[in-house]
Amino acid sequence: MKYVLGNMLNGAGIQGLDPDAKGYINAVVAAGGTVSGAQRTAINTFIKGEKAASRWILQKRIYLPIWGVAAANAIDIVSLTSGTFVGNVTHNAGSVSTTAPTGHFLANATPASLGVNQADVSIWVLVASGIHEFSGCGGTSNSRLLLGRVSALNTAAIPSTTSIVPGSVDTQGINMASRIGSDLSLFQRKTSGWITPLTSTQANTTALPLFNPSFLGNFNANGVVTTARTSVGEYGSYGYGLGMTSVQAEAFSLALKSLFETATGIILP
Amino acid sequence: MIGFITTPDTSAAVTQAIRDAQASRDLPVFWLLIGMPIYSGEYVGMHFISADDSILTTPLCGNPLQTPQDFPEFAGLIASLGGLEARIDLSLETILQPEPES
Repeated sequence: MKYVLGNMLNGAGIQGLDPDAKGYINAVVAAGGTVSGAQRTAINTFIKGEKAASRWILQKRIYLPIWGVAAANAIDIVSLTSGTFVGNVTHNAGSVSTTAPTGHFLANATPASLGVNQADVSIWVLVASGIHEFSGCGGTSNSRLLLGRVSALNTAAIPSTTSIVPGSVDTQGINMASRIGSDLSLFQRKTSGWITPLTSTQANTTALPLFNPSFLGNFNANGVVTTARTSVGEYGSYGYGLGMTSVQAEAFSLALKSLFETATGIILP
Repeated sequence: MIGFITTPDTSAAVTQAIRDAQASRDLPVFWLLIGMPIYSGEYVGMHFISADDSILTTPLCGNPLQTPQDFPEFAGLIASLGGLEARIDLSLETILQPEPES
């Protein structure tokens, strides 16, 4: 890819730079982003930490749209492939945001293409401010990879015959839904702490939909990103991958929080 | 919301042209404008392409940074939509589709 080959010097300034960190930094710079020394260190620390904890193999897509440049914001840390921003998305310093349902971000990879299935899956978003509505994708009945807020309630369905309801309307922080086997959990990380709003047993075995997940407040329903809801949120990161246990999810959320806060100077709500 | 009202065919052609502009430069397709179906109001059946000034000046890529307006294809695409002066302020409610099943 052009981004990867475009600048092989920028990521070479830190001793012991992880190859994947170097690749991502080079890609961001080649795409027009500016990566400070502190940001390089934060990215390197994050990736090395995920590898050391054996969570890196669980990660299939991690986006860090903090660079203020669309091409750089679209790069996946794990694969260095690019997703696609569509419509009305604002690229801020430290986040991306939408104020209308015309804007969203598509990860250009279906869950199945990444080895993610209904019994081994997680999806998460880091919401710096505002309200998260939906992320993910939906297909035919019960074929859903959703993390979001329905009416006044949070919902995760991966997939399930009924939505699970943790009873909180506050979506600021890192929100994650994860399923391993039949155990489905919803997690939330805030600066004030870590909570597991809900755990549930999901016997449903319907396969995940064969659509690309969408982020920034909309989900991809049967190949068409829904405009049913308006989301006003600032997103600092989002992604999906294989399922995480509660211990893994908690540690991952801490690492992601540290990466985001170090790289942006913005403290998670 | 500021943007263009156009036919589904024209909005599809504009989206494809934006896709082609990136692919032809050996770039991944990281940015698109699409036509959103209009579900209510006087423009039912048409598409809305959101295109306020902030969208048209989105920092896209490169060093120095390029915006959509810096691409040579920009003028032709805008002309195909009737020119910048053809943009209207459309009510958000007109593009909200019925509640999805979830």
